[in-house]
Amino acid sequence: MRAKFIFRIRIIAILLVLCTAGMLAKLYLVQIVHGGEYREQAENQHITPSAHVLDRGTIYFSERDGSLISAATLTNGYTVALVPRAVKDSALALSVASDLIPDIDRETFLAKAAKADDPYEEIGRQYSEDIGSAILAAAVPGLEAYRERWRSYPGDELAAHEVGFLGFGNGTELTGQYGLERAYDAQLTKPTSGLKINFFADLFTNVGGSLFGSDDGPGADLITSIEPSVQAFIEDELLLYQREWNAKTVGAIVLDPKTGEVLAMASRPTFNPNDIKNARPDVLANPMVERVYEFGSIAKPLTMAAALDAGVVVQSSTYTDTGSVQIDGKTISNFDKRARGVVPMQEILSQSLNVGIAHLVQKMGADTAKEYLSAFGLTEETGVDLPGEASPLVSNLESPRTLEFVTAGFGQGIAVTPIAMARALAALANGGQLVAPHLGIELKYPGGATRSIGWAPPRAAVQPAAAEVTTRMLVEVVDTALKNGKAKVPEMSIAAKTGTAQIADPVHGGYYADRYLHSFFGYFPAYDARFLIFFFAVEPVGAQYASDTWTLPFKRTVSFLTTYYQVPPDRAPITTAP
Amino acid sequence: MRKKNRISYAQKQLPFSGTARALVSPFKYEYRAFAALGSVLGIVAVAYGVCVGVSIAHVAARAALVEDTRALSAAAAALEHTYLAETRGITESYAISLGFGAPERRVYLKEGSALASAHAR
Repeated sequence: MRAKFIFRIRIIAILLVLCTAGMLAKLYLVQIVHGGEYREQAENQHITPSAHVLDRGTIYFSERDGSLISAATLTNGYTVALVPRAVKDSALALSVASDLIPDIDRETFLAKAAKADDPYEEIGRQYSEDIGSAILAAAVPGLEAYRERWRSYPGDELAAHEVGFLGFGNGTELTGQYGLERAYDAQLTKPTSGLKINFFADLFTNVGGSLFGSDDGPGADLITSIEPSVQAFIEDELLLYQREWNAKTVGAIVLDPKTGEVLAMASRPTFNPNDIKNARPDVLANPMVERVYEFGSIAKPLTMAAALDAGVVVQSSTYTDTGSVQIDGKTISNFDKRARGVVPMQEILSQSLNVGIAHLVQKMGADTAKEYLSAFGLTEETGVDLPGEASPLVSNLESPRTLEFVTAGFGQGIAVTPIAMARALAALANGGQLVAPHLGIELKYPGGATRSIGWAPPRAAVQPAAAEVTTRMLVEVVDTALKNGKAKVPEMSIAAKTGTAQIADPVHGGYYADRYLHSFFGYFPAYDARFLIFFFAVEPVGAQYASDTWTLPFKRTVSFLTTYYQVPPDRAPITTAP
Repeated sequence: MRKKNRISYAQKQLPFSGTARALVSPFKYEYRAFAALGSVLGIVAVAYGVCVGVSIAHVAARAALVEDTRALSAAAAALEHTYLAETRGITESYAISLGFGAPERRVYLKEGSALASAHAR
């Protein structure tokens, strides 16, 4: 009997031990394995005001000396509101509020205060710390100030298309809608408030994440390659251009052709991300990555480099320019339809001869020409870290005819994004190597840890020798042909080319007779390039050729970059000691 | 001499019959096992209390730091706004208005040459 009793006690003891072990296992699952999910649920129920406070990493510009300036950050302030049912003296509330907020609408304020049963009427948002503190200190019944935090953009319009902005989109959560805010939304987002109210949860929060990993990132700051002074200069140039030539859209890119880092990227019309409610919806998209254009003759150096690389011509080769040529039943003509006779390769670029390009493409053959267009990345997206990159319109390259490859050779019949064209041209400045264009350089995590953002390694588009010969020819273009040599900078070798493209008529087919796209690209110092500058304008008014509209902005940009980055001359006459 | 196992009075009373076999056999380390378990539980309880206390202090300190950081970052954002706005005003035309101008004559020296070193500032 007693033995049975003891036996039962031991059985119960074993069951209790098993239950305890089970509970410990369950606690382990709840607190560590699934702790993050339960914490989120719990905080949403009990600490909503804290959990919904906006918390997000900062986006930084990188100055020339490496110091960082916020492009997008968080600002603290107050929402000022009325609690009408608590208002005892609306005149006093109005007096206090209007002293602090001069532009307050008195009639609207009094109308809101008069809604006796209303628990909440908002007066305004995003007021400064001083105003909010003063309202709280005044302690007027019914006049309240609530803490608020919002995304602000210290540069206002500076790099607005590239930085983007936060918005609700179609959901209820603030997320990045355009630009880097959208491209790096997952990295910038901080999933929980920085301040945990439940310290027990806080105890276990990071244990689970560090032991088992988490899909939720800790929320990082993004450091970009955009240099604010270069960006501001470029934007000012675009503003001047638009005022002078009344173009529908203008854009510019300055990038380091060796690394693909974008130092400046701008377009107009633009918007102010601090005042997004007043922005035109049609200007929010970034034309540098979300629109495709036929850029015209700035593609000619790519064709020249391809022909040199394929070995079908050398720099000293000549051809007979007849002014126009029949290809697949269509006439390809020079811009002025004038024949040049026997001319060297240099003249194809110096005089921008379409017939010369036709000669090169015919010598290469359609298949080879297509291979080089692919090698220059013109048949694919660049993978730049900006959202919504448009795919190139290159269906013409599926044609069995040579004609389509000839027109593509001088930049018509295929449409690519400005960033794709800038990347292809940068290969000429980088020994034939095609780089991955990008704005993001590094992610900086709380606690000081940093992670460099990896980009695809360069790939060869053409051999270095072909790129160098093409560069030499482009330097000759600047020194002798562009504005009859007036654009030459004696102490600096600059490679450049203009492009004047006809604009396709989507309604009637073909091209408009009087509408053009002006483009311009250049890089310097030409034989060890640090900067590639790319400009384009859609439908400028008052000048037919890109050399008339872009040469001066390009020269000013070269001058600015040379001075700002203290680029030493690369071909100046050296003074020697007497 | 063989050491005699010490067992409790309660265990002595048990009828160690063969029917219950191992489950009712005497457990000579029962006292030590319970003492060790009790000690471990005590240490864990104290450690938990200490950890919770440290956590409270840590969260409180962090709350103050987070608040300071936010205030400072807001102030920094305002300063950055001013800085960027002021920077945009530094233009060539502004420099010209201050009396600056491009040099009329330039002399180029080879980097690292004796002449360049002689004129180095």
